[in-house]
Amino acid sequence: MANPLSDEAQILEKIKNENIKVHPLVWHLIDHYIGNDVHALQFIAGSHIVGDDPEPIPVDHGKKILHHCDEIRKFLIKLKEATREAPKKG
Amino acid sequence: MTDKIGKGLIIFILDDEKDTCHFAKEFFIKRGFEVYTASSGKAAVNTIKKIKPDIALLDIRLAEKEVTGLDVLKSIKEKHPACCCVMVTYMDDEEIIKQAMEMGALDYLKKPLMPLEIEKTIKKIVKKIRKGAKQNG
Repeated sequence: MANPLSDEAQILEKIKNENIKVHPLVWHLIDHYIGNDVHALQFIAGSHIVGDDPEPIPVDHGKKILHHCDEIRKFLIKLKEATREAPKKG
Repeated sequence: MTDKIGKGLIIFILDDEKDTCHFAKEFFIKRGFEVYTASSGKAAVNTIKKIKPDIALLDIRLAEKEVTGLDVLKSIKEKHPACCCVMVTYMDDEEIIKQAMEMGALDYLKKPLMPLEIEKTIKKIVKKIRKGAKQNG
């Protein structure tokens, strides 16, 4: 996890108190893209590391890890673009 | 050495993310399973005609909508009723999970999950299968 924000608790509290919701379509995309990429990342690393005989992750599998991280980055950019508030007309 | 808990057992994995299929296969081979994978519902239905899985890990929502994880579950349960099916989903979709359990799924897991969580669930199922085999002689 990234370094926790010093005001994380307040932000979460504000989201709860003000009933700030994420549209189900947005969740659908997040679940599909980020969920699947993170799931793949866990298996790529897990297939080498989890268990009683862990081994170093080979370079080509490291490249796959980078690929999935990049897919997450690209998805977040796309999502940000799609959810950006449209400029006010007039 | 990693415990070969799956020795003599066949596991089938359906996931539309090809790397997940590939590395899940590696993960379970290391644990002694014979592993088959499919990355679409159609391919899954074809594969299960040729194999008799003891355990199936089925992704419910697939990118290709024609044949879903639930369709594959139905097909497995028709052909191999004894197969222990675990549904994998990334949503809080209680309705679909409920439907899958009614259709004969044994358990469900929510994505993304750590391989250790999967291992824990699979170990429980293997124990159940081995116990059943012992009781049946």
